[in-house]
Amino acid sequence: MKYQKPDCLVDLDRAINKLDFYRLFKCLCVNFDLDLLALFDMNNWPEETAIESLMVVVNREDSNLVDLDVVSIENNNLIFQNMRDEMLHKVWNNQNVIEHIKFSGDMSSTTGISIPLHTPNGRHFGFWLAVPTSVTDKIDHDQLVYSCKLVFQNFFNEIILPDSMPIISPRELEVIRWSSEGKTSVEIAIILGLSEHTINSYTTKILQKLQVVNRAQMVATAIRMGLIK
Amino acid sequence: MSSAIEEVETITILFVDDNPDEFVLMEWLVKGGVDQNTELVCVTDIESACKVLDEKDISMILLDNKLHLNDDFRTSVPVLRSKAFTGPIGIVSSSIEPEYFQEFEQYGADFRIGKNELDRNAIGFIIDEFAKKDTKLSDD
Repeated sequence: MKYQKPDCLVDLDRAINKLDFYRLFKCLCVNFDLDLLALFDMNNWPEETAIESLMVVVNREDSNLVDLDVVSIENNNLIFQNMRDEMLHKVWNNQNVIEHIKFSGDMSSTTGISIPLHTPNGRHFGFWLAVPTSVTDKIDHDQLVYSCKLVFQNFFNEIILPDSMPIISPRELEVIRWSSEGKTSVEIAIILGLSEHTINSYTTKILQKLQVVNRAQMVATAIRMGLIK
Repeated sequence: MSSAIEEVETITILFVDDNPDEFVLMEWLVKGGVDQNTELVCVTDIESACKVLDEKDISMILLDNKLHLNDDFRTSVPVLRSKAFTGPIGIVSSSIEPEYFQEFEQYGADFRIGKNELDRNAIGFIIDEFAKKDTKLSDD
């Protein structure tokens, strides 16, 4: 096989939450000298100009980047067209093009790399990487793209996919049961010895899996499906 | 009282580590890496941490894995949870390689991170992801 998993990704198969993946993406940034790595959900673009960033890792201390939680990208943006519609990564040195990616901060001595990601079930994502132009030629681009795709594949399987699969885990079932007793997130957290953050993230996943919008609907649907009595 | 002042969220982080030298580093990381008000409270053992939980509203706990030679987060996190603390708890350790770290969620922790991985950007990410209070569900 031509490309190998970098040593820095030794924890790849142990990653189970977003911070674990942040650590892996940070390793890639350090390994390949990237200033910035951003992973975008491209599924609603270009119909909607707002794009959600699923992960942003900044690898420079003097960074003055703007908030990247959601970015607004015009529907004729060439870089995002590459991420949404093409198969191969692209290197962007043209300052006129890069200047349209204002959220990346000062790009005057930076080269951009866009990496399209398409899943077998027809969903679209994309990486935007910023690399100091001085090191761009020293990077093995194919190895970089391979490594990014490797981490994304696990990120998709562990973080994105479970949210859309209607399989309720035993822990989630416990959350539904206690919700059906009228307990709030804080109360369930105390009962189960977990944090409110964890309970809320379980509940959000359940809402997505059952395709409902609030707890009352969640409990009613769970009863109808026979998940709880 | 002006509502604008009330809306500024202060993130109070309780850092538990038996090595006080780590407090200096953590103070530096937290003050520089976060764009909102933060307060760092540092203690060296679980008993003191429990006392702080009784007295202060803590947003998040960063917990050194090995506070005692024979203990690790599997015993210390449940003690903190027994104080009805429902905020996030993160395990900070010089090595997160041991296999038991994979079970951190079962013991009531929210995340694990190596001490060498902690920088200002990582602290910023952790606060964004775990400690901000705007994650409440609508019908809570």
